[in-house]
This record gives sequence, structure tokens and C-alpha cells, in this order.
Amino acid sequence: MNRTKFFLSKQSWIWPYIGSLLIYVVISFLSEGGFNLKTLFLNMTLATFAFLLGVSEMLVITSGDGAIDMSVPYTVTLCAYISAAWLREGSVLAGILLIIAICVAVGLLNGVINVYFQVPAMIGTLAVGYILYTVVLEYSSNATVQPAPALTRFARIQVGGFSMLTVICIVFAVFMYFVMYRTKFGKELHATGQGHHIAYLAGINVRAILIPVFIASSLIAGATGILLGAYMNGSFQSMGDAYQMPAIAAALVGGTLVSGGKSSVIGTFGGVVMLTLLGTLITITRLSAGWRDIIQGAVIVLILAAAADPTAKRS
Amino acid sequence: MLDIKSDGGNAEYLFRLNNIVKKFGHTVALDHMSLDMRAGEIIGLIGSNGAGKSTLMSVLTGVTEANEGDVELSGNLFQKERYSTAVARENGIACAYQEFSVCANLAVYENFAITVMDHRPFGKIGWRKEIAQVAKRTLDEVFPDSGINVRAKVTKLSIEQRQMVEICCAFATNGLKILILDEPTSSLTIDRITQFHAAIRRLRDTGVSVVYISHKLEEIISISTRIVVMRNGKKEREVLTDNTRIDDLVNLMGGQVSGKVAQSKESETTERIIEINNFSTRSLSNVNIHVTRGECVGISGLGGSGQRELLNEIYAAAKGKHDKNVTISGSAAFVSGDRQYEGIFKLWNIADNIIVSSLSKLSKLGVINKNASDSLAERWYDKLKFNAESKESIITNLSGGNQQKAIIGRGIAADASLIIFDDPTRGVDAGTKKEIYGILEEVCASGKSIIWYSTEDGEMLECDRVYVMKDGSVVEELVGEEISVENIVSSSFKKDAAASGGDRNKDAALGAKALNFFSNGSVMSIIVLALIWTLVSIFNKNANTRFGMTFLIGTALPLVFVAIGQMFIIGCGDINLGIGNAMGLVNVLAATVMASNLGLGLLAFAGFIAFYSAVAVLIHKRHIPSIVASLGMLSIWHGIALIGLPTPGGEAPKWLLSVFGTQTPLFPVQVYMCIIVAIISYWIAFRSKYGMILRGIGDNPLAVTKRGWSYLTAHVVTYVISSVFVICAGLAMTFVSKGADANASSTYGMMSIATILLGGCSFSGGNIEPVGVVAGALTISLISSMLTFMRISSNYRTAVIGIVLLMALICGQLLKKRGERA
Repeated sequence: MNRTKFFLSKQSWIWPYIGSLLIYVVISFLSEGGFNLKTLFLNMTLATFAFLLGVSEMLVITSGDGAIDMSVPYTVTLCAYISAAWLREGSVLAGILLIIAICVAVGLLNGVINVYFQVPAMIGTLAVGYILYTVVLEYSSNATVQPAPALTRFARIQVGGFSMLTVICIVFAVFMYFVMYRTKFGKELHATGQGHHIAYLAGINVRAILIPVFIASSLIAGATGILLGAYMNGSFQSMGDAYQMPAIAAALVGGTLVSGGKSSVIGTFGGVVMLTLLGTLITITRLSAGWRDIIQGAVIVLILAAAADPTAKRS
Repeated sequence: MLDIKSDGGNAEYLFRLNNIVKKFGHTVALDHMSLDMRAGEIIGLIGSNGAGKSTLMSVLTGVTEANEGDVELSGNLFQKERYSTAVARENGIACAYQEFSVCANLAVYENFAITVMDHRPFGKIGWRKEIAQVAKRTLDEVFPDSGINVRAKVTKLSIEQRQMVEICCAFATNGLKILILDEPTSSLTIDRITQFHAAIRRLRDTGVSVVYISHKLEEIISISTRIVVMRNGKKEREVLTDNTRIDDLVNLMGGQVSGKVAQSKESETTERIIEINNFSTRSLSNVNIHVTRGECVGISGLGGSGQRELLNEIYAAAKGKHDKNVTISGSAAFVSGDRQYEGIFKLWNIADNIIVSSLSKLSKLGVINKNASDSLAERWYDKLKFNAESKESIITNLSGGNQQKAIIGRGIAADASLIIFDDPTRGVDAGTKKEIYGILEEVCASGKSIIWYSTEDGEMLECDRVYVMKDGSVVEELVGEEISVENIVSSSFKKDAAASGGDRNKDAALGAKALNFFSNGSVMSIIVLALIWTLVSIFNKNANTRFGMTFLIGTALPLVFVAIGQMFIIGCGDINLGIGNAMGLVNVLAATVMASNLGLGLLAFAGFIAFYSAVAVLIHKRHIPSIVASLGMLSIWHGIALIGLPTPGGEAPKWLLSVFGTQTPLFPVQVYMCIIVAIISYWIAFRSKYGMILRGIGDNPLAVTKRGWSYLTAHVVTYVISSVFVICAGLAMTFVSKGADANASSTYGMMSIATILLGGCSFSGGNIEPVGVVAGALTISLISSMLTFMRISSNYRTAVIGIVLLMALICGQLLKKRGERA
């Protein structure tokens, strides 16, 4: 018993999977044949976006100091609009370069504000996000909303039961796993997250870790924006907003330490699966939107209360 | 050495600890340890690191609950369940801790107040003055001429002064019977130690007993009447101090007797690794030093004479910071004795802690070679002889000395040509120290250079050359045979020893004062507010009329209230992302339940306060980070509000309309509301007694709880205060929108956080600025009105808020930096 407890307290990524299993059981119990896998797969596809953004938040949170990237939803929206206008025959390359340039600029700005001016990341990125929102509002007033048909087709390809998006997700998860736990960058990122000053004294170039992290976060957000716009076959001004909180929640439920230094790609994936199953459950029970929010919030709190280590010291 | 024999228990004991057992996970920290004490005794408690001294004392002070055993105080037996910090306090037990437990954001006298005052929420009128006198009296008694202003914030004090405050807080405890001093002199200079020991003896004469824990055995022998030696959580030996020698104690503690003979090494090469000529910064003046290959150079002198700054500059130069006066050839590694904040990676095991500085040579194209890193960790794990289960043991499970070995291993494994040691043996036991000296010798023999700062003068005997520093400059260079404790001490006090750094800064004082004034958060945000208001009045002549103010300030009120609610939460070290949605729920309750029935509405609000505060209990009991808990709550508040009112609607209660429509002289009622909010929240935070506790908790929760205050209560009180302001915010929102919308308030969550930062509060808690926050909220709210008057598209509203926010925060940071430099 004690051993199990110890294992669970160390391997916090397991909790969202346990939660998923429980919700799955409830779903099968409630639906009595009315439930079909199709709903689940549809929800899974939608979960792709939450996963991609969850990983980007995981990266930023792991860098420590309470950092969270609040500019993500605005980057998503902006890149969705731009992809609709530019990712068309004749301007694909220019479009991709433009989107990359925007994402790098946003990430760089976030990073510089945080690293060189020591503005807390949560607020610095929020301020940058506010500025981006104005850009979105101005740009979208007479912008193309619908992406090129080819792009939408690409996002909706099915590969033997799996959607294109799921495949992208899995490849991305494997790649991120490698980066986080096998590379020098990943190791130094986790070190930095445990204390910027400690990492500096251990010989790590902290700035060369933090700034790329913010840039990576923006790049992932940009890529998500392209896919989201393509999949939904259109863009709207607040399209990124709905993913911000679930993305952060997925990362944290999955075992990423909010104070930094510890991450889990598998856990983040589990968190996304759980939140998706929860969405499915609420859909089939036909509860009102209010109840959906309450249940979602309660599950997040419960999972975290269960996964929290009560013996941990407050810092 | 005279062993103590049991005297049959006739004498009256002040306290007895009986067969205490304490385990941390698998580690047994205390193994049936017993200790007793009579009035007027001074016990010297010694033992190597991890022997369990500090744990034993934290059991006695009630900070740690024992697994087995009981505590007897003045004849009353306490079972472990019934014992707490509060009980220990009532029985006159006070402790000055090794890691300071003063709240840096509080004034010196406020630290005394949380130590000596009773735990009722409100104090008598005039208590501040009274306590300030107590603080001054105690400081003058223990450390004459300490030069500490009791009304100054602790942040402004030097490390030595903080330790003096820490000690005096314990001295001032009401009804003091047992005083515990855990490494009390680690930051004190010799003069202060003499004053301090005299004060302890005077205290003893009044019947108070003292437990004195220290690694400095000379001090133990000079001050104590009885010495208890601990080893592996047990009592190894108990002796009377008379006729006990240091060597005997070292043997009992399990270390070898230091028999180091000063040896002079011939410098084989003259290749200089460090070359510093005429180097000056704001804390260093005209420093000239050099270190050659394979040399071990010590830096000594009184603590705070610029040694740490010098080491940091050397490290920064090696990391690429350019300065023409500092030349470092090759790379440098840094080994700090401040393991907690500069040393260990707490989440990692020993192996990762060792290899982290060697990642470049362990990886190819950015990918880590697992075998190579394992074998490197293995090599150092074996070489340094860790006292641990395996190299996969989590570092925090090790004792301080073993943690230090990992950091030293990391520094050496990195293959740097220079290793900087910043007091690496701080709080490390004699045995491990000896091992560390051996390692350092080997390092030099292998051709690496060492620069070594130590607070223990005796350690300098291990060096080839020693620079003695004073007031930021090098006053003496000792070579080979010249190195001795006497020489170091006499050079440390060279020239006019009384001169302090105070005079040097006098010229800069005026400028610093001005900077200080501007870097004060409230001032900054009031200036920004004045600027925005001027802009608004330029573009709209009606702004300064009664009607204009009613409108402009009125729409700002929800943000004013909610930001103050957030300020209290962030002030206690938490954060509430869901505060906007909580406010949205109040908005819905006010426009539906309360609009139809006042009594029912009040009941709903009471329920809201209870639920809101319950989150504090959850956060506290389960140790969930508040940011995550509030993220979940965000969803729950929103859900409840949606169920209550799925689509926008409802109406403002009649009484609310009349409250906001009250005719007041001079200015509309909204202006007075802002002023009242600022005054009330200022009073709570800075004038009330419990507000002081809340601020203290935000800065250093452990310091407050060690003094017997309940963290949980403080946490809940904070949330109750916050919830009241959230209710006000919701009501203001109801008035502004004349109805309710479950979604309308969501944006206030992040906006409130932005506002309190704009208002000058710090993000990490403890530092709150009620006036600044009110000004900040008005500023943010006025920005959109300003844009409207300037005929700028409302699309630009968020961007302008973002830019103002960034500019304010960046300016604040730059001013703060400038202020620190001056």
C-alpha cells in the first residue's frame, strides 16, 4: 500500500489516465449502446489543438518562476487569419515564412520582456497578447476568413481511422519527448526551472534557454492556428480563447509542476484525453453549459487535489 | 571531561523530551532521543550535520510533530498530538533559527510584534509605539550601538543586522524560560559575538535556560555549562563543560582531529588564471589580485567586506561579461555554500545534480550520451563517498554535508580551469569538512586553480595565499607561513576599524531618496493616473464635471474593487485566476436573487463567502498551488453563474441604485467610494494587527507559523477579506450594467492581476500597495474612455492597455535597479 502511494506521488502523470478510465466507465454505463466511438473520435480530433497548446504551455511552465504564456490564444487566432489569406497557391512559401516571422517576433518579444526587463512572464505575455488582440481586430475587419480548400482537405485527411491531426499529434509528442528528456536543451530547461540563479551558477546560460522556450511556444501556437483554421474551415476573432484554460489545465493535470522544473509529455496527453472524455460525457448526458463548466472545474480540482503531495513543503 | 550522572530526578526540570522518535520517509532523524534541562543552565548542543540537533529543537518548539515520545514542560506532560508551537510559546520557549525566520517585508519592530504579542486579532490603541520601544530596548540591551532603526524594513538591513534582529526577537519573548539558539553567530563579527555572549550570561542569571547549537566548538566551550553530543539521532555523550577540550568533542562527534600543518607550495608555473587590476564597482574599490595555475587562493576578512561581490564578478567575467580590468583565462565553475538558494536542484537525484554542469562534453549534437553521463556520475559518486542509498537518491533526502559534496562534485566534474568556492563548508560537520579539504588539495594538484572565500578564518590555513578584504578592497596579502588566524584577524581590523560604509554613501543619499520615492509603486501609479486624467480632460471638457466623474469613475469601480480583492490574495502569496468569474457570479446573484428578495440575496452572499473561503482550506490542506485551484474554480464559478442566468438579464436591486445615486457634497459618491476603499484596505494591511500577520505570511509563512500563528486561519481570513471586495465588485458591476451577464466579468480575472502589478505590488506576495492599486484600476479603466474621446477605434483599447502596462512595469524595474545601484 505504502509502495503504491509512493509510486503515485512520484508518477503524477498517471492520475489523468486513472481519471480517463473512470470517465470512460461512466460513459459506457450511461450510454447503453447509444454511445458510439464516432463521438469519441470526433472529440479526439478536437483535442489535438488542446494537446499542441498544452505542450507549449508545458514548455513555458517548466522554465520556472511561475511563467505561463498568456499570449498563446492571440497568436493562434492571428496565425489562423494569416494562413487563410496567405497559404494559397502561389504564396504558400511566403505565407509560411510570414507566419514563422510573426511567431518568432512574438516569442522574442515575450522572452526579452521577461528576461531583460524582469517583468513576470504571466503579465508580460498578457500585455503582448493584448497588443496582438488589437492586431487581430484590425486585421480581421477585412480579411479572408476561409482558408484554401486544399488546406482544409489536408487537415481533414483520414489515415486508416486516424485523422491527420491525430497523426501530427503523435509525431509531435514523440519529438517533444525526445527534446525534453534526451537532449542537453531539455536537461538544462528542467534545471533552469528549478531556479534561475542556481542554474546560472551551475554554468547554464539561462537566457539561451528562456528565450528559445518563448519562441517555441509561439511557434507551436502558430502551427496550431494554421491547423485550427484549416480544420474549422474559417477563422473568428476569439477562436483561440477557448483553448487557453484547457491547455494549461491539461499540462498541470498531467503532472507539470506549476513552479517549474518538472514536465510530462505523456501526462499532458493524458490530461487532454481526460478533458476530452469529460466533454463527451457531458455531451451525452445533455447537461446545460453551466453544469459542463462546473463538472469540468470540479474534476480539475479533484485530480490536482489527489495528485498533490500533501507532505510537500510550501515554498 | 566529566560525564553526567543521573541524579534521581529530584531537581525541578524546565523541560524534558522523552524518547523522541522522528522519521522523514525512510530516514530516522531522531532515534529515542531524550534531553532535559533545569533553570539557569546553558546546554551546548553539538553533533555533525544530520545528527538531528535542529530536528530535536523543532520538536521542542512544536514546529515538527514527533512520531513517538512526549514533551514535559514544567511538570506538565504533553502527548505529541496536543503539543504545538502555540503551547511551546505559552510555556516560554523561544528560538532564534539558523535560517532566519524574520519577515523581510515587515519593519523591525513588527517582527518583534509578531513574536511578543498575543494572538488576538486586534491590538490596543498605541501598540505600535509600545512594541517599537520594546524592540529598541532589547536591541540596545543585547547589542549596544547596533545602529538598527526599529522602524526600518528588514530588507534594508545587512545580513549581520538581520541575525541580530532574529536573536533579539527571541530574547524579547514574554515569559521567556527556555531560549534556543541554532547557529546564532554564523553572520556575526567577533565584537558582536562578545556582546551576545555577555547578554546570554545576564539572561542566565535571571533564571532563563539556554540551548546553544553551534559548529563553532570554541564558542560552545566558552559559553555552556553542559554539553550534549548527538550522533545519528541519538545522544552520544553528555558532559560538563569544565575541563572539556575541543579535541575531545571532535572525537565524540565522529570527526578526526584537525592536524593540518601549514605547508608552502612552490608555484610551478606563473600562468595566470585570474588577473584583476584596479577593479572597482559600487561595492568593490581598487581590487588587485591574481591567481596562477594550480594555486589555492583564499579570500578572507570580516563578513560583508565585498568578498561575495568579488567572487560573483569573477564568475560573471568568466561567463563572458566584459571588463578591461578583469582577465580570466579558461572557464570557471561556482560552488556555493548556500545550498538552498544557490546550490542544489531540489527535484533531482544525486547523479543529475553532479552531471548538470558537464552536459556539453556529455552530449553530441545536443543529444545526451546516457552511458557517458552515468559513468561520470558513478565516478564522482564513488569518489566523494556519499552517505546515501544510491546515486539515484533524491538530493533533498541527504544531509547538508552530502548535498554539498554533490555541488562540489558538480563543480570539479565540469573540468573548469578555475573553481570558485563561496563558503562551501557553511553548516557542514567536521568530518565532511576534512574530506572537502582533501578534495580541494587534489583539485589544485591536478592543475586547476581555486579561489576560496570562507567565513571561518581557520580554513584559510589550507590555502597557498590569502587576500584579506575590508570595505570592498584588499588590505593584505598573506603568503605561506604568514597565513595564520591571528594575522587574518589583525589585517581584518587594520586601520580605522570603526569606519563604516555609511560615510561613503552620503553623497548619493539624496539621489537615492528621490529614486526610492519614485520606485515606490503607489507614487508611480498615481503619476500615471494623473497623466491619463489630464489627457481625458483635455479631450473632453465634461470630464471634470460632476456628471463626467460619475460616469468615468463609476465604470471603473468594478475593477477597483476586484483588484483590491486580488491584491489581498496575491499579498498572501496566492493568486486567483478565477476572480473575474467569481465576480460574475455575484453579479448574477445580485441581479436575480437579491433584486427579488433582499434577505435571500444576503443569504446567497453569505454562501458565496463561505464557498470562496473554502478554497483557501482546500489549497492549504492539500498543498495545491493556488493558481491551479483557482483555474478549476474559474470554471465552477462560471458554471454556477450560467445556471443562475443562462442569458444576460436581471435587474439591479432598488437599494443599489439609491446607494450609487446618493448625493454627496463636492464630488459624486463614486469618488468617495474609491477613497474609502483605498483607506479601508490600507488600514487593514498596514494599521491593523492582523494585517501585519497577513503581510508577514505573504513574505515568509514559516517565520510567522513558527511564532505560533495559524497559517490556515490567516489564509482563510485573507480569502474572506477578498470575497467581501469581490462582492462589492459584483454589486458595482450590477449597477454599471443595470443587470447581469455571466460572461461579462471573465476578463476581470487577468485584468485584476495586471492592475495590482501596475499599482506597484510584487507578484510573489508580501508587498502590497492599496493606494497604488486603486490608482492603477482607475488608470486602466480610463484608458478606454480616453480613446473614445480621442476618436480612436476601440480596437486599440487592448493594445494601449498592454503598452501602458509594459511601460509601467519596465520603468518600475529600471527605477528599482537604479535605486539598488545608488
